[in-house]
Formats: sequence, C-alpha cells, structure tokens
Amino acid sequence: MLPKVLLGLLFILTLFLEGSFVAIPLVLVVVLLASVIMRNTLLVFVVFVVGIVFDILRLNPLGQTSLFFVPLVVLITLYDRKFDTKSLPFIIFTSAISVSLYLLIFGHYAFFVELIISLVFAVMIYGIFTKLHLIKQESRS
Amino acid sequence: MGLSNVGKESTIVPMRKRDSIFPAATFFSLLSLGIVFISLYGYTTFITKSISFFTIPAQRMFFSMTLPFFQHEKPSQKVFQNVLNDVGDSENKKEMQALRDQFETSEPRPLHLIPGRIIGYIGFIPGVKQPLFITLDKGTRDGVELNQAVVYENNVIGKISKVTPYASSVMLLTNPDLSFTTETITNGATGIVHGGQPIVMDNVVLSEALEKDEIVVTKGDIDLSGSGFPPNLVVGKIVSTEKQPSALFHSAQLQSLVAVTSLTTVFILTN
Repeated sequence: MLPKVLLGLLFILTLFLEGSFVAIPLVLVVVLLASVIMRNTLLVFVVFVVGIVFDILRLNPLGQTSLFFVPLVVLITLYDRKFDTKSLPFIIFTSAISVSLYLLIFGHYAFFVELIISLVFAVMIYGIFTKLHLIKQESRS
Repeated sequence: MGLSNVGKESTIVPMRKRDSIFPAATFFSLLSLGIVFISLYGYTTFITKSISFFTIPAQRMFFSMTLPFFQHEKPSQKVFQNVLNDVGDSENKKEMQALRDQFETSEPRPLHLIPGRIIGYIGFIPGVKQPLFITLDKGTRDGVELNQAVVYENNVIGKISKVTPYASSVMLLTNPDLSFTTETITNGATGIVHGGQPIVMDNVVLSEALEKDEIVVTKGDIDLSGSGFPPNLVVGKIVSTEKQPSALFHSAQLQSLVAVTSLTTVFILTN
C-alpha cells in the first residue's frame, strides 16, 4: 500500500512541478520507477491518465505524452525477463535513454542540464525507495 | 530406464501466473493514438474542458504556493509556513497593484484588456534558462484568441501562441520563435526584433543610428483579424550595438524593462 501512496503523491507533485515550473522531465522519471516497482494493469491506466493531465497542464495536443509513457512501461516489463530491472545501474541506464529520447521527441531547452538533473532525481527517488525497503533486490542465482 | 518414477506420486506445481499488462497497454496505446488524432482536429474540447475545470484551480494554487521559491525577489528569510500564510495576501495585493498600474496607463486603452493570471512557466530551468512561455488562466471562453498581444502597463510581454477553453500560452520575448517590427523612439530607426536570450534588434540600415539606452517600441503588426502588436508598446532598451563596416545592416541587443518571473498578472489586448 505504501509504495502506491508514495508513487501517487510523487505523480501529483511532479505533474504540477513540471506542468507549472521546471522544464525537466520529472514525471517520466517517476513513470520509470513506478514501472520497476509495480507491474500491473492499474499502472498502465495511471500512466495513461497522468499523460493526459500533463498534456492539459502544458496545453499540448492531447494524448501525445501517454503515447510515449504507455509503451515505455511495456518495454521495461519486457526487459524484466533479461535484466535485474530493480538495480541502480538499470535505473540510470533506462533513465538516460528514455529522458534523451523524450527530450529529442518533445523538444528541449538545455539538453545536458535537463538530462543530468533528471538522472540525479532518478537516483534520489531510487535511494529513498530502497531505504524504505519498497524496492526489493531480486537474486538471480 | 525411466521406470524409477513409476509408482511415485508426481506433484505438479502450478506456475504463478504473471499479471500480463500487454492487453491493457495495447488498448491504452491505441486509445492515446486515437486521442492524438482527434485532438489535432479539435474534437477533444470536451475532455480538455472537463479536466481543466479541476486542474486550472489546482495549478493556480500550486503556482502561487511555489512561486516565492523560484522568484528572484524572494520574501526575505521567511519560513515555509509564513510563506504559505502570506501567499494569499501578497498575491491579492500584487494583483490589485497590477490592475491599478495597468488602468492608470493611457495606452493601451483599458477597455480592450483582459487581466490574466500566470499559472505556469514553460521552458524554465531556474538559474539556467528564463521561461520561453507562460500559461495564463484565461482561454477562448474569456475572449482570448491566437496572436493577441500580451502586455504589462505599456511593455510587451509576448503574444498568445496556444489557446484552450480555460487557459492560454504566451510566447515570450525570450523565445527565439518570436519576431516583429520595431523602431527606436529618438532616432526612428526601424528593424526587426528577434526574441531570445538576449533579445536582438537587427536589419537596421546603416544610415539609421542606434544608440545605447535608447528605448525600442513596436511599429505595429496587426493582422487582418485585428490581433497582433499595436504601435508604441515598449519592447526594451538598447544595451549594446554591433556594427560591421562590410555589412549592410547593424544590430543591437535589447533588455526588456519587465522581469516576467516577478509578475503574477499580465494583460491580454483584445481586438
């Protein structure tokens, strides 16, 4: 229950922070972490709604952000069979790739600054979730 | 050969069924794609309207609460709780002051103005980049249309670049996509202002003088629908000039007289 509440709060906070102030893809980072922590149909629905609300806050064409977020969740689920998706290197790697792709598709204002701040944010959130034992490392032996 | 298991009770351990997200993901991906297509033709107004009804007030409240932490003129050394308490009062005072200042300004005429409250910055990275757009809490239902000029007193802030029923987006002078014709007050030198960080006025013929600290105003860029910049709105003052002997034109760098991040209310010039 706690991860869901925490993720919900993070979604709301980052939605308004990115929708009203900063040009850093914080919502995307939370989507990434959410898809690592919980993989179910509820998450897909939440990610879809988050994308729609984000487009309304930013006055973007409706649906474009959801169209990026939903397949991203599927991709991470696919990689779950091959890699330890709950490890920090995986989070950093996928964050770097997906944030770069997102910035290239939807436009960027200061590419490297946005990328670095997003990665720092991803590591911070990952650290908090690990400290609270909300991300359990999988043993693959 | 394989007979060792004969007679033993074999137990079949059922595999834990994974909650497959693929059907849902496919459905929501297709739905997103469909929404993108119909939104391009403007058929998603009802979705935007119904969700904006809740998000705009929330966005306005969130912006008011967090603005003091991003503004240059921070409320000096206030603790978070005090900031929260003061937000309501200071926002109202600022809005009243903005309205008073605006209606004391003779040009543009107050009858043609819609006050719009800033509820968001787009393209803003604190300490790195100034915002390229601002979001206002006024939309088509308040009479806002594309390309209308946005001012504060008699200073240019930008022009409307996107409109929805409840909100609109303003392209600021810091945005490289903004350009319009201008002239200097004292020498009457005409040129084209290109938005950006810094703002540049170029295409000024060499025979027309550009001087430091000169005020640059709009020359008037009204389109057929009546939207655009009327003449004599202040764009900024010249901070430096650049002249190359071999070039046909010379240019100047401008500084706006208004810091957008210190404003809470701006005014939309209607047709």
